[in-house]
Amino acid sequence: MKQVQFSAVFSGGTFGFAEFKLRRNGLLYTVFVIRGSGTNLLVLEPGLYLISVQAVAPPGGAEITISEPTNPPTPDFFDEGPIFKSYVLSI
Amino acid sequence: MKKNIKFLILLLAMTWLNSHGQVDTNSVKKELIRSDVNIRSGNTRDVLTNFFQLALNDLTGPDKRFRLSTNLFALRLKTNPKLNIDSFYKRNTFWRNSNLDFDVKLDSNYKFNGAAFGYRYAIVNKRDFTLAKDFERLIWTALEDHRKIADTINGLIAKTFSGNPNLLIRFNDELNEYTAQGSNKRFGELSDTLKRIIKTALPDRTFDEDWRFARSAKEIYVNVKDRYKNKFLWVASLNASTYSDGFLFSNIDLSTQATSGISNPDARNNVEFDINAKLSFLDDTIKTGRKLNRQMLSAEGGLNWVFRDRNTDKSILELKGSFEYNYILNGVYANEERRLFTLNATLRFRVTDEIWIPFEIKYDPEDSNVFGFLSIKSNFDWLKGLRN
Repeated sequence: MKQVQFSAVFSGGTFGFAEFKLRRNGLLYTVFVIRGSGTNLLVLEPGLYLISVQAVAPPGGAEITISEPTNPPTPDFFDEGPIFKSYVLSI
Repeated sequence: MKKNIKFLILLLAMTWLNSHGQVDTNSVKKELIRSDVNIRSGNTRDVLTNFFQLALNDLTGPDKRFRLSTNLFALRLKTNPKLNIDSFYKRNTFWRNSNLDFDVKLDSNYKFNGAAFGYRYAIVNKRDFTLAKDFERLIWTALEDHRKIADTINGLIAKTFSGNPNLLIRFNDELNEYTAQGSNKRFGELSDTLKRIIKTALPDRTFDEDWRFARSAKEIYVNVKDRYKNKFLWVASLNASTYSDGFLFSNIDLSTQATSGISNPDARNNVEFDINAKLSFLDDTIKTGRKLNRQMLSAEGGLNWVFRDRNTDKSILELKGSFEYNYILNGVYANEERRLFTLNATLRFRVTDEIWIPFEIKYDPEDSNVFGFLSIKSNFDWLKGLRN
């Protein structure tokens, strides 16, 4: 079991939001939304995760970070507009 | 050849209209108007130093003029970029809605040669989609198809390669490349394996080989943004200018304007209403001395029909019908009417990208006078191209 922090920072507007969908070993694990800049902390069971992010960034862009204790953080910067990106995480 | 024809048309138009010719000087040399973009970021001291350097460079340059048009929030961001984060952004209403313009001129001997100042505040700005409460719902709904496609493919990739991290990473990377912002990748450029996965995940769908996921999603986003372009906007402004020989105001204008589209925002041709009122304090040139003792009140309201080109979406013809009321509160000249009410009609059509020709007719119902005005408004940026 490991703690993983999901964070989103939106700039230049108030409508920024991101939906995170976690699939573990090919099966849906959990779904949550960060509306406006914020973080969500989850305790994840060991496994191979595909974390899909669907989001929309305001004109100032968005910064999405998925970090867990054993791996360095993965900050990702996005321009204004729709965001479709997935991350593979092994725990 | 084309350029020469444009030039000839312009010369003929100017000759023909020379008695009422009017050039929109605001748009001439617009590249010389500085904004926050020209000011470097840094701490307050650096920003101020950069600002004064810029002003000094322009005032000692060939035009001897410094013009700045900026949003106050954009200026604040130069010293503190964190203010752009949504929670701070929301709180800075006053700064976001405030715009400042100023224009200072020197003569050939580097002496003060006049200045103009303007401050504009958006009292209500429904065009600012960045704060629109319904934007999130609208864009999320508009992107539903893209979201479903991405989600279904992700689900199948996760399932197919759940026992093989390397393949999961490889195909996830390829999919990310296809869906990434700014990607121009076509569906046809995907690997056969990924195409097979996508077709398996979405058997009822046919994918055009030229379909670009990222570009298509961005177009949807822009379309949703565009729905806010014609929403209600109400601004108030204060403008003042000085005499050219001293720092004393020669006129002050207090004005307000409200405008909004009233037809379907997705329609190519639309109608918008426009109401404005202005209170002007002017120097009475008949009297000696410099006092703003001539005051005028003017108001105008009307509807503007905008007709757009089917292919470019640019406005090609505009027809405005309005009423106008002018009232001189103080300082009426001899043989001048204190009140004037007119019905106006303005037809503007676009000759080229840069040239608009407006025809304006004013009707005074009291005296049954018809004032016909014909004017040409243009910025002449394209003339630079003719020189090269």
